[in-house]
Amino acid sequence: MIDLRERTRRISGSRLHDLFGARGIRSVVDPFMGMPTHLNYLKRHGIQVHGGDVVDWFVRAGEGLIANDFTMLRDSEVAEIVEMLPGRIYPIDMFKGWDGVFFSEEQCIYLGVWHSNVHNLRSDGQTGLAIVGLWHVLNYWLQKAHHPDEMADVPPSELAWQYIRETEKWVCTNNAHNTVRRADFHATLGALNADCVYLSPPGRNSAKKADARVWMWEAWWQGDPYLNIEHYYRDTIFGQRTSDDASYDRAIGAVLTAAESYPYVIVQTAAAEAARFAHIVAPFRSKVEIISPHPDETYIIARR
Amino acid sequence: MTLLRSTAPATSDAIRLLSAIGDAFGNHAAGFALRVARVAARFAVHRGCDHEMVAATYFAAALHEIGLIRVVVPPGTSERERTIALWDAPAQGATIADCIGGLPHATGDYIRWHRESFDGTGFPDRLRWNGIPHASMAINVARAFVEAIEAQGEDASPPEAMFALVGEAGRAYAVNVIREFREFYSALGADFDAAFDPAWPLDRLDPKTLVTGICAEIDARDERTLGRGERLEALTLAIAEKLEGMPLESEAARFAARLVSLGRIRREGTSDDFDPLARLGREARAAEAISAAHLLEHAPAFAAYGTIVGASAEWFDGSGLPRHLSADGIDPIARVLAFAIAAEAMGPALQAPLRLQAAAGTQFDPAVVRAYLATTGGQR
Repeated sequence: MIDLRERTRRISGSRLHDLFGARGIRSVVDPFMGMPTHLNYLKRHGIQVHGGDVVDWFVRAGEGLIANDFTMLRDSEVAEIVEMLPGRIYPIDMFKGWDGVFFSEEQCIYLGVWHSNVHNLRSDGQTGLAIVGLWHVLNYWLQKAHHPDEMADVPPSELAWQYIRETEKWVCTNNAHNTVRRADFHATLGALNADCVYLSPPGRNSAKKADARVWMWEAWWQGDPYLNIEHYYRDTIFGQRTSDDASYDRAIGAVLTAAESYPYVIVQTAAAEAARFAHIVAPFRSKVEIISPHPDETYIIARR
Repeated sequence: MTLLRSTAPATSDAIRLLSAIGDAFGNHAAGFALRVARVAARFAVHRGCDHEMVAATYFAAALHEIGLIRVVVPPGTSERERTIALWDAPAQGATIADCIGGLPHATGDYIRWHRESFDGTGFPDRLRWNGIPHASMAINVARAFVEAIEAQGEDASPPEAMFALVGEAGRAYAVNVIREFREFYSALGADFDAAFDPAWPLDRLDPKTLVTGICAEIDARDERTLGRGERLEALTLAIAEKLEGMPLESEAARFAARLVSLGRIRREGTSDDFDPLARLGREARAAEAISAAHLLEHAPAFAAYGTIVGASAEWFDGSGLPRHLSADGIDPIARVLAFAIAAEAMGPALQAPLRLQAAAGTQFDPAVVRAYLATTGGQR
């Protein structure tokens, strides 16, 4: 059984939309987007959105929810994802390393089957949607490992079907060109132009402290149960030594430097860190405003 | 009419009314949201929440459907588009709660996230796991529990409803929240939804302003009724000033004119509107009046206004609906309202004054028609 984090960062697309609406912001870049549900909300409400991340499955999820405007999955296509297809040879041992440690044998077989089926999908949009839907299955299983008697037993393919169908509803269009890219913040911010940069910056040593539900899914997507996502961050500024305040502040400063051409920068943090982040942001921006609707959810809104 | 002056509506009644409006938009039986509020608040007490959090939970649950007021789903919309449109309701509800002011600090946020699911498939923000405020999830659990009980009708069985909740543990709701809710239900048994007083001072709220604002939101759902309440109010006041031998409480008349909008809650669009002077549309007009009156009954301090608004579709000659009241049997404010509603609906049509005048003595009180003509100098 693996530890699941108690604290989860709350990133609210609807709150961001309120903040954007009050300031006339019509486009946004999030260079550390993670699971892009907030960008999906903003897209649905007409904001042009761009995201970037160094973790590949987040980017794939973005291709399903952000870049994709119309592609959906028909029933037959969902069936081809969630079930073993006759005549196809599956890598059912691919995730044997997790068998008995995190998952049951049946679950590991399904992970191998899904890995293969998703890699055989026809478009990036469909692949992204399948990845998002199946990720919820992984989360359900990990959660159920903690509470075996308090959560319903649902057959893997049925659970996968339900989640893919559910997440597929999130596809929307905003008649704008929305993009995602697998890149460091520098490349993302340098390649784009928007009204605002939204940052929910990685924490100190975030690579080492990545949530199991994030790194495991990257391992699944890459087909390597022993994958360590630490090396993704190694070449980024947050992968270097950022455990001390000064180094971390410098890393944030580097992001703000890269975001210099953007009219707005919105940094999300917690109330306890707000003063510190405001202090970091101040040298880069002339107007800094702090909005804290909740102690866990504080926004430093900096204007050029 | 002195009754209206002596019983200034209490703010708690305004909240009750808003809650009933949310129920109407959510197609729930009136009182649903208040029942959810009682369960959610009692659950918060059971969990040892502080006073402000309990109050915030209560008000958020009471107003959890109010965001639907800003969600307009045009007729003919597909099921998928309808579902997607409804995803916005909680965030809209949060905005409305934040505008109300005077409510506990977190009320808006609890409304915003009360439909989030633990597994990240809820709406509006797809928050997941512990990113969802505990109180929001508690409201969601209470909502689902009460909904499951009410769906069973007369044979309602709370244990059965609990069974449905348990099946969603780890998906819609966190496992620990379901566990706590089961403990709560076991501890309270049949008293799980007993009366609850949030004991939160609402002195900063003006109940009439609050209700007037919501009525304006209802009008704004359709561009053809946008600003209708203001126009009705202006017309009612102008007529009231010119009325001879029938003094009206202008404040009461002004407020009653705004409350007319409540009748349009369950009517999308105005395509079924008849000529306001035709007998053909009496049922539809009466249905609106009754609908508004029923809503007002749920807030005792507004009940007197319910009687007035409920009589606004009566005809002076007794051939109106719903009660076939006539002449002095109809409240004077209702007589003015009946006229104002028709005059407003006719708009600036050239023949409007003549046609309205022709209806004096049948549909409208002649004194009211005279007062109206006096305001326009005989012309409109």
